[in-house]
Amino acid sequence: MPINVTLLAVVARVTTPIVLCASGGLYCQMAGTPNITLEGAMLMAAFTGVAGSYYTGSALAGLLCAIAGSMAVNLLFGFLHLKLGGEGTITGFAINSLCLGLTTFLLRSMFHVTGTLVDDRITGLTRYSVPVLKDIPVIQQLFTGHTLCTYFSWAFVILTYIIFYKTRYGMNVRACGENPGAVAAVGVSVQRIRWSTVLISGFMSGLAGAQISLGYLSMFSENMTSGRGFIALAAIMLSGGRPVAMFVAALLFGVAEGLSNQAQLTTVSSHLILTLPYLMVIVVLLMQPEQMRALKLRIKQMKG
Amino acid sequence: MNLEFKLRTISVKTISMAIVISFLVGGAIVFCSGYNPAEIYFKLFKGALGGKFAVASTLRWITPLLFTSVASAIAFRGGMFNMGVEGQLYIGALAGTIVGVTFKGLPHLVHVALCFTAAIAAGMFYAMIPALMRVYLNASEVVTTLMLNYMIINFNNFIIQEYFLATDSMVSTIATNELEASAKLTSIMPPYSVNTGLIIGGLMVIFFYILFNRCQKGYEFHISGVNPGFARYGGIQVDKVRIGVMLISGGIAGLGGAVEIMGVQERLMASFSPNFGMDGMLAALLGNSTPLGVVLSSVFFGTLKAGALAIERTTDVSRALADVIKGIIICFVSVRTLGILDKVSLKPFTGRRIRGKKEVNHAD
Repeated sequence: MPINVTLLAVVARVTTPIVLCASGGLYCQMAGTPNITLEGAMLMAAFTGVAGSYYTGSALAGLLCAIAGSMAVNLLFGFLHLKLGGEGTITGFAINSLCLGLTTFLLRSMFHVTGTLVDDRITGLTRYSVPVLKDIPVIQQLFTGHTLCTYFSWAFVILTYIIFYKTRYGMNVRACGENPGAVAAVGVSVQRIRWSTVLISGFMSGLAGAQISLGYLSMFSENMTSGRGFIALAAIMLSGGRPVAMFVAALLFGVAEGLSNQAQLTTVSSHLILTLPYLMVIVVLLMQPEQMRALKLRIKQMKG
Repeated sequence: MNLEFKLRTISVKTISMAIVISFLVGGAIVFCSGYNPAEIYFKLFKGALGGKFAVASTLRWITPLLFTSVASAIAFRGGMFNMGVEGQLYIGALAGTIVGVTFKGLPHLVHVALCFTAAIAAGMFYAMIPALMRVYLNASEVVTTLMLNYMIINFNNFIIQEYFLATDSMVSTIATNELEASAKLTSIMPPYSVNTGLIIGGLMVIFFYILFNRCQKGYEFHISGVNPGFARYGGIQVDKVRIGVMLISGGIAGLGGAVEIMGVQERLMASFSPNFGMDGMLAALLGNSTPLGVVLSSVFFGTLKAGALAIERTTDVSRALADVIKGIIICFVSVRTLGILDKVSLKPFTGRRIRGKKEVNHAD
C-alpha cells in the first residue's frame, strides 16, 4: 500500500475534532459526570455552524454559532442530568438521538434539502500556516494550511494538563470525580464545578463540530459526525484521565482514519477500509494494560 | 472504566407528562419553522391511523420495533447496555438474505426456518463479541457495541458489493437480488406489506414475558441486572448471565433484521435500516423494559413513524419530526422527577406545598 506523503497532514486534520471533543469531555469525565452527548453536541454544532456561515457569509459567525449550538445541547444535558437528576447515560443517548432528529428536521425546514447541504454561501474556516515551522520538511505538514481549531486543539491539551495538575480549579475537578463528598465538605460546590465542566465540554464540542463541517468541506450532511463523538469517548476512557494519554489515543484513532482515507485510493474495497477506524478503537480499548492485567488475573483464578 | 447505568422504573405520570411536553416542544419547533402545528399533528395521526392504508403502514413500522425493543429490553434487564441492536439487526438481515438468495427450490416453511436460524445465529454471534469483551476484558459494552455498529454497516456494504450484488433490475445501488419467493413472508393484510413477522414479533414479547416472569433464569437475569453484587452473593454467575442476555438480545435483533428483509424490503440494501436499533432502545427505555411497556411504546413509536412518513409525503415537514419527539420524551422520562410538575399537580390535593427533594448529586 503506497503511503502518501501527505498522510501527516491528513492525520492532523482528522484528529482535530476527536482531540477537541475528547479534551472537553475529559473535564466532565474527571468531574464524575461522564458526558455521552459529545456526538450529539458535535453534530448540532456542525449544523448550526453551517447555518450561521450560510446566513452571514462569515466563517467566524459560523464558528460562534457552532459553539452556541453545542453549548445549548450541553446546557440541556446539564439541566436534565445535574438539575433534574436524570440518569447520565440514558439522558445522554436521548440527547444524541434528539440532535440527530433535530438536525435532519431543521436541514429540511431551513434549507429544503434532504441528505446533504452544499452551497457556495457557506464559508469555510480560514486556514493558516505557522511562519517558520512551515518551511521545515516533513513536519511542515503539521503546520501548513490547517484551521486555527487544529492548532488550538494541541494547545488545549497542554493547557488541560496544566489546569488539571497545577491549578486549584483542576484539583477541584478531579476531586469531584474521586470523592465528591470531600469536595462538598471543604465548602466547594460540586454542582458548580460539574456545571463548569459541562460548559467547557460544550465549548470544545462546538469547535469540533465547526472543524467537521466548516474546517475542510464547508458542507453539512445528515449524521456527518458518524460516531466521532463516541470515538472521542473511547479516547477519554482509555486515557484514565491523563490529558496526554488522551491525546495519544485520539492520535491513534486519527492515524487509523487517515490511513483509511488514503487506502481508499487503492484497490482494496473502500467499504472494508471504512471499518478500520472503528476496529482500531475496539482493539486499543482491549489492549489497555489494566485490562490485560485483569485478564491474566481471571485466567489465574480459573486455573486455581 | 465503564459507563454506569441503572434502570429506573418510570411512573405512568412521568411518562404522560413527558409525552405532553414533547408534543408541545415539537409543536413549537414546527411552528418556528413556519407551519401550523395543529394541522401537522392532525395529518400525522391521520396518516398513522386514518384508513386501511394508514393502519397497515403503522403495523408495518411496529413490526421491526417489536424485535429491537424486546432485544434492548432483555439486555437492559440483565444489566447490559446493549447499544448494538442496530448492528445485530444488520448482521441478522445479512445472514437471512444470504440464505434467502442462495438456496433455491426449498419448500416455503423450510426456507423461512433456515433463514431465521441463520439470522438468529448471526445475531447471537455478533452480540457475543462485545459480551465476551465486557466479561473478560472489562471493555465497556457501550463503546464496543457502538463501534461494532459502524463496522457492520460498512461490512454489510462490502459483502453485498463483492459477493451478492444485484444482477436484476437494481444495479445502480448497493443491493442484493430479490429473495427467492419461498423465503418471503406471507402478508397478513394483502395488498399491504404487513406480514407474519408481526405475529413473530408478538411471540417475542410473549417469550420475554415468560422468561422474566415465569422462569428461574429470568429471575436470575433480573437480579443480576438490578444488583450484581447481591446476585453474586446468592450464587448467580453474573458473568454468564451477562453473556446470556447478550446472546438472547442479539438473536432477537438478528431475527428482526431478517423479518424486515423477508417481510417488507425483499432485498438487502445498503443502510436499509432507518435506525430501528436506536428506536428500539428508546422504546425499551420508555416502556420500563417490561413486556407490556415495550409493546405500548413500540405501538406508539410505530404510529409516530408512520405518521411522520405521511406528513413528509404531503407537506414539506421532515419525517425527522418523529425522532425529535421521541428524543424529547426520553430526555424527560430519564429524569428522576419532573419537580415543577409535581408541585403544581399535588398542591390542590394535599393542601400543602410539596417541595421537590433537593438532590445533592454527588452521592454516587
